[in-house]
Amino acid sequence: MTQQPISRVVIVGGGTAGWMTAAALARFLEGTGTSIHLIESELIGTVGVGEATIPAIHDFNNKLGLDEREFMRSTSATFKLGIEFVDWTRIGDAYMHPFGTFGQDLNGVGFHHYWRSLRQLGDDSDIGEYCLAQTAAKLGRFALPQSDPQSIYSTYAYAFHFDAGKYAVFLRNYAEQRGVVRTEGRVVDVNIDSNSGFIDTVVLEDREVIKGDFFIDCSGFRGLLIEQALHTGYEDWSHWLPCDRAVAMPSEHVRSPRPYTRATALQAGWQWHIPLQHRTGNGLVYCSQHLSDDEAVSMLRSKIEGEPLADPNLLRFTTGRRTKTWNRNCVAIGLSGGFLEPLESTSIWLIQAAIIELLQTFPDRGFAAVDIDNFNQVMASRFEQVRDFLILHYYRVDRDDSDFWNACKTMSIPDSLAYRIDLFEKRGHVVFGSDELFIEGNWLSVLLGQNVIPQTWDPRVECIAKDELQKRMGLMKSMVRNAAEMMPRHAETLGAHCGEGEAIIG
Amino acid sequence: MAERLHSIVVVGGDAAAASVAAGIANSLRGSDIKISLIDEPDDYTGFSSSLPETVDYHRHMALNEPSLVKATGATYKLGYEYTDWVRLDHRFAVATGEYGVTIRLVPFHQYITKDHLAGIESRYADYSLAAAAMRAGRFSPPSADPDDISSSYRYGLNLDHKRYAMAMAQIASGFGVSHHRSSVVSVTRDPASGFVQSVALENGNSVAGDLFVDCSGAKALLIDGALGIGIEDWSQYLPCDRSISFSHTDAYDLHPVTRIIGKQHGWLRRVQLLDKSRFEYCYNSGLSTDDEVVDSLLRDLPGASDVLPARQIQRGARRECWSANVVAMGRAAADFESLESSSLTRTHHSIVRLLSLLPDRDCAPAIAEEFNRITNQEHEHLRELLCMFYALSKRRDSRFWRHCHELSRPPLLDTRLELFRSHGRLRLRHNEPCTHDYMIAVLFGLECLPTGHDPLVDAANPSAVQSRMLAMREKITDLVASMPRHEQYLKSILQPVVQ
Repeated sequence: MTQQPISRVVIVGGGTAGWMTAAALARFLEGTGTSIHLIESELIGTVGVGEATIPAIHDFNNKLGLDEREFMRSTSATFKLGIEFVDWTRIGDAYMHPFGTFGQDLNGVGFHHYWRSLRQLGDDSDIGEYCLAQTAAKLGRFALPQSDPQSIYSTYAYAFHFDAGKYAVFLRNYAEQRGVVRTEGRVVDVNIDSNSGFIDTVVLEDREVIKGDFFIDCSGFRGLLIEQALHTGYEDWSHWLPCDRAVAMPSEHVRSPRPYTRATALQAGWQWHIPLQHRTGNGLVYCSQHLSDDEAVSMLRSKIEGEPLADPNLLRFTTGRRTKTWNRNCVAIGLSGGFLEPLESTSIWLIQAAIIELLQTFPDRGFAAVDIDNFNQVMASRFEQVRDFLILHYYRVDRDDSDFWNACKTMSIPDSLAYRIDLFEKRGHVVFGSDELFIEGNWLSVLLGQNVIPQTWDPRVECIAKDELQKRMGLMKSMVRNAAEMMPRHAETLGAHCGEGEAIIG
Repeated sequence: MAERLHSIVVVGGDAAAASVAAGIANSLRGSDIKISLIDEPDDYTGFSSSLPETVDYHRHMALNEPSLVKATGATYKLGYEYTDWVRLDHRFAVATGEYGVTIRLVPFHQYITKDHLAGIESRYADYSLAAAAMRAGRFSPPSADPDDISSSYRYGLNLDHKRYAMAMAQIASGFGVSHHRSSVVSVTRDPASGFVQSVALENGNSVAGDLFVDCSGAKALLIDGALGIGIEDWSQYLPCDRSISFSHTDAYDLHPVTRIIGKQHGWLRRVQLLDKSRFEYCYNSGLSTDDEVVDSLLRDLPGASDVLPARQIQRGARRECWSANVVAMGRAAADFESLESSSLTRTHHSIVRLLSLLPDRDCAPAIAEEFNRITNQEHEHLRELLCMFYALSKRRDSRFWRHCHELSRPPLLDTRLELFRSHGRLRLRHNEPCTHDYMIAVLFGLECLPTGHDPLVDAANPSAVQSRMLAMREKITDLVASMPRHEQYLKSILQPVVQ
């Protein structure tokens, strides 16, 4: 029996998710005879998810073969070395989740064990002082990393802040050049084959009927296909992540863009600060049980530094994920597949992970159930990993200044997260699997940042004599500091990278 | 803060014990932690076909590999060859190296699958440098440059247990380990905590410690003998509960490979060491008697010598390999047939894990739990791999092979096979014993073939793919021709260069 290839993929919804999907499918299905259609309505506003990314974005952009300079110019992008968390554990405290390593492992033992042992001796250095990404970020400096593993400039990665709307336009151009057919219109009806339960056609407002054999739902929160038509179901996680509203409002710059995202905890949620080339993205994620929309808007207005550039944009959501990201002949990518607040800048990553997984499990018209189950398992675990990472920020806090925080720190957390916290607290051991997004360094920065300090450390630390260790650690710290100070200012590198020249270290 | 660890005692009985003590001592050089080894290397009789992780383990200790090979009469190993496994007169090999390259996001085996489905003969093994070298009987160590195709494989060592244990004991002593050439006769536990405090030796000495590593083999002197942690029975999954080892001086064949040969009563593992061939015949005692097996092996291999008494295989694993202050490794942790696995390498895995979780004196239960969680996962993955070999054999010509088809299968195995048969997809889980390419080579070798291919294969221009595949084959052929024969390579490292 020969395979029946998919003849037409129909993507419902443009926006970041829709055009990322369209671009990637166009790139990797080119030559297979599968045509790709995208339906979007200019009347429906898109949610500019993210705007802040993590280094994994390179993987996606590289797969598409995008030119970085062109991409940055087109999306008003800035460089990003991490995320700063302000007021999370206690008001007045701050820590960073940098995209780089802390110090150097010695004799196969993780650096943080050495750091912890010196802390016991009264050395109160912040672990971030041993991290080039963090030190450079705080100094407002940025240079592209180097590939030579011997160089200290190879110890970090970077991501971008960008205008998600412009990214969608950029990818739309890419996709259309590669044959994606765009139809302007609003889907008003979905026809389902009564035998198979598969989506057969979608009907537009002007009665145009578009047939497809594979549908991608990028319609956002409401899940036009996956939920409204297929009634797939939703797993609600708001008992762990109770924020359910957001308000966004861009503003003018008051300073040159910082090379990092900032997330500031407030009495019933948190505020984001994302510096782009031309403006600053601001917003508040909050819990409607503890803060009204009006209060949120006025709070955001009072916190924004520059002149607002638009009216506040209010969003509602329920944190959780679609029970099945892939149901019958429909895959939900983007907010239709689930929502996790952008505290760790994972919105775009969740889209990209679904797209890459889809490409690795791309079906034929047989829609093998094993492939679909496999895809759904992978996506469920991706969402759960991010979920656990986010919960940690809310759960391990010393704040007691509001009902919101009192509720967060006393909630019962998933066993998977409790297990990780426990092992770190007991022995400084970070648990992570080979297919996880967040690995040792990521967990380490947030665990330490949220004040989970290991009670004990790896006994192998004692193989190095204390004074020798203090000497080596001191050297590491000054190397990091010097290397950071040698880096050009972020704005300089940005100007050179997006213009013509080249900013250099030193 | 808890009191730090002062001493670690490794209790031998398993040939890996001395290497465990050496590895611990190497990692703890400079600290005050004292390491003791209780081991009598002269007692060992077996052999191992270790996996690449053992070579990594040695490298981590900065051992001089040629000296080790010289001291132990070891040979190199690039993988396994299976004869008469799927059916009689059938043969396939799997190598510990990469096969082909990913083209446009699509794993290489999908292109082979497309050829198969179109009726075009295409061999996965032709795209693996390690598989080609193994077939040609050639060996040289991989390149360290990741851009060089010669870096695309790893290797293991075939080792004689006695000589390995002797060499490792010497290395351990060099690292400051106190070696007691004796064996344990009794164990003293703290009545309050249940922790093992000390072991009394046959030579009258007593050795105390904070943490005990039980490398006593199937006897499991501490974990079972003292702590009473039993083994979970896997007899419904695995057929072999007995094995007989022997040697043969003929049939000198120095291919860098471990051979597995399907037989009437079970299967034979054959390893060529420098001086002789070593064999292990694994079978089921409910289906064949020891005498039947010995008779049949003497018929097959008239020159067989050193036939050792049969040994029991317990077919199972302990759920708590770490309990109180005792950590069990190797056959004391799990005992099953050595198909696709090596108790020696399993031990090396475990010791690396123990070092990364080295506790304080109180052996906090959370740490033991994490160790056990990963160890159990690893044992279950191995069990699944073994079950896959039995499930996919098509032999029905003896009671043993018919029995193999009546065995239970772990549920995840069926899902894996179904996923692969549908469109050739494979998803490795965390901590699996082998790589993606290796698993594909096993599945292809066992004639588990997909009925469909990845649709993205069609995106690539067929003639461009064909010419790229041809170029890969040619490159591999050239490289293999330039590698020394395995015996030449061994000779070159065994004979010191005359200055």
